[in-house]
Amino acid sequence: MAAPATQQIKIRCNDEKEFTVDRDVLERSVLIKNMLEDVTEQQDAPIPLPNVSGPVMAKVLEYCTHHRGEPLPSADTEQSQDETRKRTTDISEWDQKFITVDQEMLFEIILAANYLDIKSLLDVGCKTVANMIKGKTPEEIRKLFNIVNDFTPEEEAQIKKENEWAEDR
Amino acid sequence: MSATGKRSSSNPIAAELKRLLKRIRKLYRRIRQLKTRLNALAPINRLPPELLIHIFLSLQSNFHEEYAVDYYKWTVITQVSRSWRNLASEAKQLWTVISHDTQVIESPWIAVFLDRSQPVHLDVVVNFDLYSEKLGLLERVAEEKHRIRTLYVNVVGVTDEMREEFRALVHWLVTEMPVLEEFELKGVDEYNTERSPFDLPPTTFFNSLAPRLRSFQVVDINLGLRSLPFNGITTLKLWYGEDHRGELSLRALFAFLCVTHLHVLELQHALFEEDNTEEVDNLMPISLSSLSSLFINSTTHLCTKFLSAYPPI
Repeated sequence: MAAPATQQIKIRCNDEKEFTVDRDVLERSVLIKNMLEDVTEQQDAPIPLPNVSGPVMAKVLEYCTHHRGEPLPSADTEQSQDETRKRTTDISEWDQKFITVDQEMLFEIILAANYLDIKSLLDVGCKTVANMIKGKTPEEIRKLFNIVNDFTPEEEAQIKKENEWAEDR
Repeated sequence: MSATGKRSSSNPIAAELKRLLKRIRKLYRRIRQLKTRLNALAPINRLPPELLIHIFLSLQSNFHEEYAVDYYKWTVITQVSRSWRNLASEAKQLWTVISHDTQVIESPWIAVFLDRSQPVHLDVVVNFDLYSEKLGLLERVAEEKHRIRTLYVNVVGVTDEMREEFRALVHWLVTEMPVLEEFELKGVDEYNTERSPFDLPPTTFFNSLAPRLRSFQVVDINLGLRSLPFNGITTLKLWYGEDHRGELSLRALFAFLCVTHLHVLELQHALFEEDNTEEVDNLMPISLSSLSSLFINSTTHLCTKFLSAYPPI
């Protein structure tokens, strides 16, 4: 029989930071949901999450708490694949405010969402980065992400050739 | 000093020049390698490749609604660094949405997209401007029709000559398209809004030609059909201008509804009045339980009857 929604679950991050969280909040993570379903007896020991730090987990939990109760996206059904194909870069107002963090934290959230298997959070993170890229020149993108131009002269020539049709339009 | 002496004295300089140039080239290579290593340490590049591709796909989808000339702007990611360029080039799913405008595109991108997306299914948007002479690349797209999953075609142009051209170009629609799921064809007659500018061949998309077709939509295109030959579809939208004579008889529509499980049905001035109203009366009522969305706009008497028999779903 499924455990009651109010059950409290303890988790431990890679910096030993522990959180006690309502089960339905944690179950936004497919990884944790599956772990909890695999455990038949109630355990007091915290679930170890070796790939997430405390500060990042705090942000992830803020997201999961806000979105608790919302339907989880279905697994790789034909429909969800179709939605992926047609995904847009719209982000809700709350999510936008939530994800307004420095780059370091943004990428950590994306990594955590991927590890914990929280698809909606992963999408928000990736869309945010995509929106940061949109409308920028290659040089502006490099500057934004601390990347340097490492192309060979031959590659530069190829890139120029690929894109000269679009110049003056 | 003899001529031979001059040559021999310049040789060490030439050799030194050659050596220095070689060293410079080597250093440039080394610098480039160090830059690549530096890039690997950039916070964004600490994301695994599959997440960077997820970001690139989000960016690409941001441009789906853009005109072809702007759609390709997402490819800016291929100009940022070697690792991004290589990663993007190898991610087949990034190259599966092809937006083609016969008026503006002379870019090498269409061919690049077709190559890099092999053998993944394609989503193709084509804006035919039949005034344009730049239709060659479209033939290249047609060669890949066996892997086109969605096809949206907008046609602009009105003269008889252009209609001929259109007929030739849509010839590939009446041959086999084994993975086609969605089809939309929109004809725009800029100068005469009272008639449909183009005809589709009557054999378009018979089930055997497009067995996976689920959505069929046309706007201002003459179908030339008296029945709907595709039983598997779940979305049917036929839209025409107010003065359109109608493409479909109510009887044909009923016959179609009896053998299919439509979810979405939209008919805007698509039905025409029939002589034998009694026969059609006998067809009502049939079950429309599968429909989740129904829109019919027509001035025909039978259509009014139809709507009274099937109030809004």
